[in-house]
Amino acid sequence: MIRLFSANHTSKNCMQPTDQQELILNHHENAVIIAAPGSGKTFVVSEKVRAILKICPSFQGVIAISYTKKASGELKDRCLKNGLNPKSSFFGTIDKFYLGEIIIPFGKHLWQGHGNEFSIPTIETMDASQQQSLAWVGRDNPLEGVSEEQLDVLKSLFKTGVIALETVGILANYVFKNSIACRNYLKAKYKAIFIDEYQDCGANQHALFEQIADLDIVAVAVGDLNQSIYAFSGKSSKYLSALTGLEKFKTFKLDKNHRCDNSIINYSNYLLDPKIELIPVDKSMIKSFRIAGGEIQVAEWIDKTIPKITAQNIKNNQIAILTRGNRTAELIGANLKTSNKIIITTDLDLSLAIWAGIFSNLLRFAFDPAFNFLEVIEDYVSFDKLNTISRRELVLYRDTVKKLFSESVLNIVEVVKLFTIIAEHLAPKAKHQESITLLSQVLNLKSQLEAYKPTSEQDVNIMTLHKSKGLEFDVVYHLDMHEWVFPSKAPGPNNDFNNPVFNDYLQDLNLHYVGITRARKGCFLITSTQRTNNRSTISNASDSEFLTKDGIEKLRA
Amino acid sequence: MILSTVKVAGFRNFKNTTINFAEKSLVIGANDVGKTNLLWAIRLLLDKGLSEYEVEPKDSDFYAFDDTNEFTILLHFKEVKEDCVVAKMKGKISDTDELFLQYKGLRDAVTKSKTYKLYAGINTANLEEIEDRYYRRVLNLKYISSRRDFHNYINREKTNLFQSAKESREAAEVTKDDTLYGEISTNLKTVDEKIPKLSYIAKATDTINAELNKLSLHHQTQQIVFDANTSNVDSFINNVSIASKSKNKNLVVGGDGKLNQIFLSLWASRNKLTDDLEEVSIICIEEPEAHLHPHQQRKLAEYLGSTLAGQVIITTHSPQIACEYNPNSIIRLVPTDAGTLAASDGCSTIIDAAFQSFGYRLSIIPAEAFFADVVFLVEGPSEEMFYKTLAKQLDIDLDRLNISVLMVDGVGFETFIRILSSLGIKWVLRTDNDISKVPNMAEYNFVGVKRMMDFYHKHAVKDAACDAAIAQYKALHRGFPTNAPPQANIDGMAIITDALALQGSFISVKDLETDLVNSKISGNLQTHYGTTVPAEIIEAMQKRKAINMYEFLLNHKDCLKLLNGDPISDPLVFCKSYIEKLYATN
Repeated sequence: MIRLFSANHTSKNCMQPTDQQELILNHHENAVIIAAPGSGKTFVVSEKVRAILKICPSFQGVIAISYTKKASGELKDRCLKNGLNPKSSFFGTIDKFYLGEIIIPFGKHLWQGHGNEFSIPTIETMDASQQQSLAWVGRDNPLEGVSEEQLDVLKSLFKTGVIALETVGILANYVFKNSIACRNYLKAKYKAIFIDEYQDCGANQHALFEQIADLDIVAVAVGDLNQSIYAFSGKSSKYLSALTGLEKFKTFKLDKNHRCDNSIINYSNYLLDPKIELIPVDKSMIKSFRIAGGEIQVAEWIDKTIPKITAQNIKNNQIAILTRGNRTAELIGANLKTSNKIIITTDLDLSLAIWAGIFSNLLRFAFDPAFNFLEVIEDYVSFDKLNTISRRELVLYRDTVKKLFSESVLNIVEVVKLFTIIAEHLAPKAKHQESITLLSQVLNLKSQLEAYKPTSEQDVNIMTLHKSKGLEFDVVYHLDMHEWVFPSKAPGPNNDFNNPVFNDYLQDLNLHYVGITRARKGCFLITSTQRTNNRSTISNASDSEFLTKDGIEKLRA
Repeated sequence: MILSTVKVAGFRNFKNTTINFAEKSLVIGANDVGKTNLLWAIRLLLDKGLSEYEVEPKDSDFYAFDDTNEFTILLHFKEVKEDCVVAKMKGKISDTDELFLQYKGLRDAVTKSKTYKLYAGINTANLEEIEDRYYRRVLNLKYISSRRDFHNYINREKTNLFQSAKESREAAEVTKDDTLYGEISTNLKTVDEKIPKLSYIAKATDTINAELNKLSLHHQTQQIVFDANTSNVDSFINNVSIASKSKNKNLVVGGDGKLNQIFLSLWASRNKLTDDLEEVSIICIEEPEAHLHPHQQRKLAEYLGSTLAGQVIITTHSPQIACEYNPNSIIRLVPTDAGTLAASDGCSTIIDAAFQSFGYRLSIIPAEAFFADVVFLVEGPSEEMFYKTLAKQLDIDLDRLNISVLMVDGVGFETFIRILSSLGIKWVLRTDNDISKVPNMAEYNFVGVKRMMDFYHKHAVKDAACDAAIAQYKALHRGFPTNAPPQANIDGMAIITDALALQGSFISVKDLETDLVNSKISGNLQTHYGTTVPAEIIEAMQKRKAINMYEFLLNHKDCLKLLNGDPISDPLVFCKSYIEKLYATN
């Protein structure tokens, strides 16, 4: 079965938009786009952005919000290809937008007393008394629910230069509501706002999105109700549904999956709705395997099957191994002999501090010959603004970085010192001790440091299902198809193992759907007779309910 | 958007000065009072043409009369609503559309090294330091100095002019041009080929080649020649220079006046605000009237007023510009012991209201008054002629002392006094000592003295002695039954008028003609009018005052020397000593 060929593959949306896509491209007002996997939503969004950037004046631009920094970078590259001028656009995550465009510049109008240096810690890293005062902060409190006293807590923190990361949604809405200057600014600068992954939206993002639409900025939300997988962090697909019901938003569908083989499309659709009409297929490219043993044996099995795949002209980096959680990912990564890279997001990457961003970029530069040093500094200072002396210094730094990282044993102390000097040079006002700590953390953990190396063609990708969102591969090994694990189950009340309760069936189903639809040519669902459980002991394993849901086995090879 | 206020402290002439601007502002003041310095202060922050190096502070920038090592220039903008500025200045514009920019020049007291810092914010309590003048792309000032280098400017603008003309061609014109271009190219090639054929060009290199030949056989195959450079057709065409055509003959482009006009009209049309507002600019022109005939000055003023949209600041020495440009603000810079100040802080409702009352009556002649240091106001044309002639005869050089003599005929004293006060210009007046009936009452009053007391009360700088005199005696200005007042009232008025004279308000004994008949020149008057009866002379003088005065002065002006020391001359003497005192302290 390992032989693969793409039966139904016509050229994936090259230049010509499909009819469905054309409808959206010709619509110039508010829109909600319900986009299935592989339907070309990034193409559509980037074309809409390009159309605006071509005609707007240089002091204007668009707001393009993506779920992760990585996705944002990719969207930006797509939008600006062939050297299109971004003008005054914003590409980034919603948190970065809240902080940089609303809270910091305009919070200062409402609450005086602080300069430009803010630290953005997570509540768990703050000291005990601060944590106490923020005990009421949930995953995504809507502004209406926050009391005056609670707002005062946020206000006094702001005045001392501290903004708790979990409160940025609340603060952004508050500042937006109360600062006329903020609304004037957004309206003067931005012609449109695009938000992706709207099925995983929070209350505050939704509130802000609607209010921005009220400023006569064209608002476009893109999402897939079936890919809502972040309920655990307070997100919900109800906001996307709500938008489809509003009069000032026109709803569009992009429901043709151009990415996956038809058999995979069938399987993924059937999973969500057994009554779906199936596409006629010759051969199913999705199959399940039960491996005797635990993770180590699974890794061995994968090692055996990979050469058969690469023999069909598929590169290693077009193969992905998706797991439910980090534990399995690390176990497989440690035991897989084939060259591989575990995709993880370090705390350094998650930090919104400017210095943390500089350090992330420097690490990427250090390992990737294709990453230009200019890309490290351009976000912070314009190259032609620097005088000759500064330029010479930066060139010296660049060369020193390369030298340090070419040594067989990394001198961590020197690296931290050098990176700190560079950050001081680029953003002296944003000095941030915590970022230095995070940097040291990364440098001291090999697994974290590896994350900054570019994926070579030789490396098979290992990541969690959550991380795989938005990506695509020729072949996917979907692991962790175990009962109790996926869908996640817990014993009923009084430890009743006979009447278990699903923790969040729908979220897990969506997650499974995401995993399957990452595969273009072939997908292997892997289960095994044993597994390592959360107490790190090996136990017996049985198959996940997903493997037999509504008789779906008949769609597998 | 409007730049509404500029505050300069510790910079050049300015110790601590506030200047308010309006949409169209005129800056006037004596030479060296600091007009250009004020503009430079604004340019430090807003002029795109100034490089980072040029805005570094110099020792001469720090106010010399105090031991100061810091100076600040604060710009306050209001109604900042334009998208391009709002989009660019994130967080620096307030809810009420206000923006502040500040330049701070600093000098280390010990090392004397100098540096500067820039700030921007929503109010003076919230100024945040900014790295550079990044806003100049969308918010700036465009400046033309009084030393306009016309030819350089034209050369720089040539390319732009050609470019815009090229772009606005019709398709047929483009084709025609392309064909012509081809012909020019071919012709140039022909010319290039001919030039080396000139025998003296060809022969010029014979000597060189002969010597080279001696050095080596190689050179036989390669000859050195003078050759015309295969011309770059484009640079040849671009080499056209500006010329003036009259009846199809080329002339040298006019004198400075014409050049000035061409320069300004070209500049104004290039800087007209375009429809898609990508930037907001304040236009600043120094002395637009340079080298121009009065009529042309007026025309230029009108032209600039209609072509230049947006905020404009003009400095001038021209009364034509002052009254034709119709500024809603005049900023008069005045030198004082505390540095240069702006009268009434620049544009203000005081000045605006004062101008409103002028209305249609503002013309050149009164406009000259804005440039004086003292203005002597008289009733009508005969008084004006008289006093100007008298001044000459008494060796009081009005122009040298910057004194204007102005008649208020048809406008009234009050209007002039109001404007002059608002512009910080000292006013001196002389009026007739009229006595008339109080309307609707059976009594008469000293209406002339009353008028002067009102002016003093409303507009003059108060003096304790004068206040006392008026308080004590003013009741006596009325309350008598006929137009022959009792002695007590006359004496009371004399005390008041003496006090007012010390402040610059003068009154005749009776009226000009009567006073002259009773003065040392009575003999000359008798001669001129052919009678010795005073009443007849007075009557004759008052019939067609101006022309009679003119004729008398024409024939008898020398006799006015006799009035040296006469109270009639007091106003002029007062003006002279006021000026001398003013410039002695400064």
